[in-house]
Formats: sequence, C-alpha cells, structure tokens
Amino acid sequence: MALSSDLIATARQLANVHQRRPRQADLRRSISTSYYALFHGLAELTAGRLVGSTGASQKSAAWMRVHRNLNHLTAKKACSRPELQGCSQGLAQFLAAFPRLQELRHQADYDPAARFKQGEALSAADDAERGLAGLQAAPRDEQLDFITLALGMTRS
Amino acid sequence: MTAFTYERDLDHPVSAEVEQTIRDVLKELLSSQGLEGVLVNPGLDHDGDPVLFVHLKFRLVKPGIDPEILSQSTISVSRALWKMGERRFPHLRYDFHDDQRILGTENW
Repeated sequence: MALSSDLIATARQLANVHQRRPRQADLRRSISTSYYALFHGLAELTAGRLVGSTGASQKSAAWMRVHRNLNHLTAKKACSRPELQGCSQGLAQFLAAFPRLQELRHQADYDPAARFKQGEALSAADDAERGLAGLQAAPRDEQLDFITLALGMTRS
Repeated sequence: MTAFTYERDLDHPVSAEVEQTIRDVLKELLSSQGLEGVLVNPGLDHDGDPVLFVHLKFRLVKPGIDPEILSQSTISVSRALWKMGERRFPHLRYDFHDDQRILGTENW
C-alpha cells in the first residue's frame, strides 16, 4: 500500500509545515490527504483481494477497473452495514475512520467557514494510519465481506 | 449549534438517552485527555444522510493527547449507540486548544 502510506506521511508534513501558526490551507490539505490515504488504501486492498496483488496483477486492466470502481458514497454506506457489527477491532478502526474523515474532508475542501486546528489535522492523519493498519490486519473473510459491500454488492 | 449544523437538520431530534450515552462514553474515555465539554447535534452529512455531529471541547493537556485513546472514541460511541438501536453515525469533531500537542507526532 505504497501510495496510501505516502499520503499519510504527506498529511503529517502538511500539518507541521508551520509549527507555531499553521496555515488553514495546509491544515485543509492535510485533512483531505488523510481521507484520500484511506480511500486509496481501500481501493488497493479491494483490487488486491479480488484480482491479485502480484506485480503482474497490478498492471492488468481488471485490477485497474476494480480499483477505479470504488465509490465514495457506496463505501461510506458500507461502513454502517449491520452485517459488519461485531467485526474485529482492526476492521472496526477502519469503519470508524472512513466516514469520519470523509465528512471532515468535505468540510476541509468545500466549507469556506470551517476552521481547523493543527491537533485535529494530526489526529486525522493518525486515524487514517490506524484505520489502514486495522483494515490490513482484519481477517481475510472480514475483508472480503467488507470490500464486496464497499463495491455495492449488497444482494445475497 | 455548531458551525457545521444547519437549521434544516433539526428535523431529526436526538433523544435524551442517546445524548447521555454519548456523554457518558466520551467522559469515561477522554476525561484523562482534557475533555471538558460535549455538544450533540442532529444533522445531515454531505450526502444528506442523517448523522449525529458531536463537538468535543478540550482544555490544554501536557505533555500531549494520546492519539490511541482518541482513536477509540468513535468506535466506542458507535458501539454504544448500536446497542440502543441508534443507527446514525456519530461524527466526532475535536476542538483542541491552539497549542495542543498530539503525542507521537513531534518528529514530522
């Protein structure tokens, strides 16, 4: 998950550009980047589980299609599905972080009246990191259950 | 009312029981991290889905806030709400002191 990990590092750097008086622009970009770390991490895991995680798989059209098929709204709604209640602590970390950071990202990107503090941006980056680690550590059957729901496959 | 809640969102009230549960869970978890106030407002998220906006006010804490404890707060509140049949996602917004440090993030 190279891109998602790098995005978390970028989010932290942005939050710390000006230690004493952080600029709102930096904090907003930091929060937005933390959300996208989660989103790309989920997309990478989804494509990896459904198509494959080898170098050759990642270059295939199928891997790219699955990666690009992830939708923000559908993935957010999957986080609140009743089937996932009682899941492992790892997956629970992701299910808590994803909707939270998605909403924060919308405020950061679109609400001109919103104000952010450095601590909030840093905690968002931490949430993204913990959420991704939790998703990766979740049992494989839980991962598959979640990623199929996140792709909108709700019929069974 | 917080800055991110609008009048149109007030059609979905929060019961006193739900609000008290949120306060109890957060107080138990975050009192040691400087939590000094909780404000719960019903609202709609950016997609128009009903949610709960929870504004958490913190005092300055030294040497800093433990992010691991912080990260448990949404999970703990969500689990408590599901047990009582409340399905709206709790969006926790942290209002830290301007000079608040988050432990473990000093080297970035």
